[in-house]
Amino acid sequence: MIEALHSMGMSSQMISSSVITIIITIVVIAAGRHMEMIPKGLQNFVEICVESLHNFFIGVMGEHSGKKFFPLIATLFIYILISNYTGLLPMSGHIPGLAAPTSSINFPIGMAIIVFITIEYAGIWGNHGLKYYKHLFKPFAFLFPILVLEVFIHPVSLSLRLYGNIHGEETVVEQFFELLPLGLPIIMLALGVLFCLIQALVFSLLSAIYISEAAEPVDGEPLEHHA
Amino acid sequence: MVEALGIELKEILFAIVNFLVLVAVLGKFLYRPFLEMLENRKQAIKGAFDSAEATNRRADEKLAAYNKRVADVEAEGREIIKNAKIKAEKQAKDILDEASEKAGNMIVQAEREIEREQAKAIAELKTQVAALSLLVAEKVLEKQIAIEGQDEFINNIIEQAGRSEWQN
Repeated sequence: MIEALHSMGMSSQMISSSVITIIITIVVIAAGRHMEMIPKGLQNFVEICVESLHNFFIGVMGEHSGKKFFPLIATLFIYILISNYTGLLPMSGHIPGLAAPTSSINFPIGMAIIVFITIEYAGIWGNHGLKYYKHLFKPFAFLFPILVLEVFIHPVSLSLRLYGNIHGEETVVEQFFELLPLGLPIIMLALGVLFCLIQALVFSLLSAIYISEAAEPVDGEPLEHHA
Repeated sequence: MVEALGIELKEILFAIVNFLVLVAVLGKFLYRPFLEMLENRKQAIKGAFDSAEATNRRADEKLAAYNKRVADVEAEGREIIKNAKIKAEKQAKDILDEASEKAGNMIVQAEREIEREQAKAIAELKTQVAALSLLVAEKVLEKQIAIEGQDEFINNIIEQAGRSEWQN
């Protein structure tokens, strides 16, 4: 079956990404199927995760833009975290159909493009129109080229940082494995557990900060009137 | 550079579509229902706390009213007992005074009656002694005594009978 998917042009990262999406969907539907006022088991675990993420990102982004963009940011965190941890599974990257999606540059680029579009949308939404782009001329008009460059640097830095860290971590594990298969890779794998979490947090946290900054009115108008 | 990094448009588009599908699925099945549940639970807990607080407040009010009522009843009871005691004391005093007065009256009346009876008895006794004296005199002398010249003798006898030795 995996060969058939490969022959259709799907890479291991694409297959893993699809499997991750399916597994997350199944878990989420199972957790929310018979929700009870007093939670237990899977519902309790998922509630803790959702509430923690909600409180964290609302704290970072503020109540106004946080509520609107929370689903995107939280999904970024969950998806990147699980994608990163896929790379820690045994033989990940060595058997067909199993590879961390974030170890390929394309998936971080895809998510960075979504974040980039969302930043622009948040700016237009938060400023009631194209006056959001006034910020490219502030504080001085001659800074326009640098500020435009900054707009594009955000998604590029996001994608390269994620790809570089995960790809680098996997490469190091691989090299350690070739040097000493027993023992040595475990050190890097243990650190990898932390790196994967940090990278997921960094990507989603920076995205949240960029989006909430863009959603703030350029002229300093109050945000309460936005729907 | 693009080839060196392995950038492929197809994979990027797949990543975007895959991620957007995941956002939609999680939005529908995770964030919305779970955040609603958290909010509902928060409201339920808040409602329960408010209700408990209101119940406590009502209980405190009832307890305070009950304590006040008990205090009022106790005060009223003490007042009633005090009044009853005062009234009883007054009644007892009245009864004693009345009894004392009645007893005094009865004593006075009895003394008067005794005096009256005594006087009456003395008067009757005087009359009987006079008749008896005459009869005794007639019997002792057994002779006709002339009425004339005997008045002094009769009066002496009556006088002697009126003295104290007769009364005892």
